[in-house]
Amino acid sequence: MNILVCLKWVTAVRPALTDGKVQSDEAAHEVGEADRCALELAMDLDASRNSTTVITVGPADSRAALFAGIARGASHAVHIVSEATPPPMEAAHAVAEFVANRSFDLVLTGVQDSDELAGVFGIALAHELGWPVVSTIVRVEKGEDEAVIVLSERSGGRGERLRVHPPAVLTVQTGRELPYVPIMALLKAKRGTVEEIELEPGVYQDARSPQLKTYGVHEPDEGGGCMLLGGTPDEAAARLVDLLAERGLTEALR
Amino acid sequence: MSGILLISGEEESSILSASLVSAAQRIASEQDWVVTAICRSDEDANRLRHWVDRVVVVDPDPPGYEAHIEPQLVKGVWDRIDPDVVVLPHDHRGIDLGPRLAVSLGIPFLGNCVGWYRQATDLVFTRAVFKGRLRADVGVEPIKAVVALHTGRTTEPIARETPAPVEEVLVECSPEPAIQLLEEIAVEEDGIDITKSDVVVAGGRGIGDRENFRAIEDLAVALGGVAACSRPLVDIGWQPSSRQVGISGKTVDPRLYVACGISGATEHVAGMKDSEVIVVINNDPTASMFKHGTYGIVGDLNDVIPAIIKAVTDSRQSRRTEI
Repeated sequence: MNILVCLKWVTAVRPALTDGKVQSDEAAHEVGEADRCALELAMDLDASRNSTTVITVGPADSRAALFAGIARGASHAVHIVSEATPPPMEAAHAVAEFVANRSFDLVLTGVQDSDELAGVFGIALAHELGWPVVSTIVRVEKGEDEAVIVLSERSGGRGERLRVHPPAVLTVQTGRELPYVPIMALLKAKRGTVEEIELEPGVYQDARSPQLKTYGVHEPDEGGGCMLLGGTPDEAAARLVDLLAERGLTEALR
Repeated sequence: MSGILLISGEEESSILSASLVSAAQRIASEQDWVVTAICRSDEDANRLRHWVDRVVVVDPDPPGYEAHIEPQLVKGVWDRIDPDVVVLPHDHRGIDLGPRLAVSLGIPFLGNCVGWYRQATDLVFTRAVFKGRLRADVGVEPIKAVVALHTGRTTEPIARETPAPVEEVLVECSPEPAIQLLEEIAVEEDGIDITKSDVVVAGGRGIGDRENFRAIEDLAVALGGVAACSRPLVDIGWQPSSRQVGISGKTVDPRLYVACGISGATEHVAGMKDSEVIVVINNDPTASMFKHGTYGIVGDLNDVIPAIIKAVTDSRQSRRTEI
């Protein structure tokens, strides 16, 4: 079973803001958590570590995402090189063009990236390919007749067990405990081969990629009125109990 | 027809559905739009027709894998009424249905919306980004969009003078033969309904050790409430999913919510932000949970929780003595 795992190189910390714009270049980066979970599910299916390809779309530094993938067991890596990280619909289009010329059975990716929290990439990729897609996957195993059996998470702890016949796209939910990747494995991965494809600017400028007007990025303005209670734990706790009583919450203290 | 095509929340989330309808009413009012609700049952239609301008009950022909069928149903209605935006809740279903619908309609999906405002002629939605640590304001006018909203405290929608008309539509759907439902997994219940308690004490990853959840339970008992948790504790198997607060868990709005060792990810905050009083206990003063708190204590849970339990016990003892 040939598996492609799509990884996005995202900021690991809250980036700085200048005039309502994100300055993420200087921030520490990582592979997004949901994408890392997708990689782990691929490793569950690929015990022999010879049929998983990792791919990323982005500028030169996003190649580090591929090294992380190789260090975890991916056998091949593809970098679609662009000047900047493209919007999800454009990235999906680029990956779809790559997939269309290869023979993958499954494409796994995170249900949403942790920077834009967009949640569009995997579903847009499936749409481009004309493949079925199942979202919020937390488990996958091989079934009969080359199918896979997946557990898709629903709200409130519910779920669905589904049989999926490849080719298909699976978007993966976070939650899995992620293994530590030794530095030595990462250093070794950096000596691995990465296939490069150039992404032509504006390759996906059509009606399916409408330009939204972004007014700016800012700090959350919800809340902000938190009263911090200082002193020793005993002093802070006593003050808290007094405040709760003042707010008529004494019934909670019965 | 200019307006909103509204998809209400999951069937058990009637509170969220009412909040969402209320939000749609307010957006429509500012934009001079109408609200058309789409639903799947006569029961929902009878509830919604008192709040919106038009109700469409849809049925798939033939039925099939729900996640594949539902976007086709909504698109069928979209094609008939040509609205401006689709509004749906940012819940588990919304984060799947929203993008599916957006890509099939060829319009943007704006998920994680925590608010909106009007800027000149633009309708601007505020999205949570960067793990909820920042907000991005994105204008959609005149572009059409699918918008997933985090619903707020229950706001009863404004009732219409006369119930809206209800239309039944059969939408021809193409099934997805590559996906078969084998089993529906039920909620892992432990007999405690965290949505019914006036006091909820929740622990997160910051509790550090499984055994430390005992302190969360002790504090919950001391405060007369129930113990709950954020998603990471369910993921690592320390707590059942029935105790999870958040988008993928349950939504609570108790009088008192105590968040212990919880960082404040959007996933969790969406499930408890409408609590009347929020107490945040965390040893990381930069934890974004403090932004949502009413009162905060920066400190080690192992020190602070026993101190609160003692203060509660002392307070109770003191009041008994006074009586």
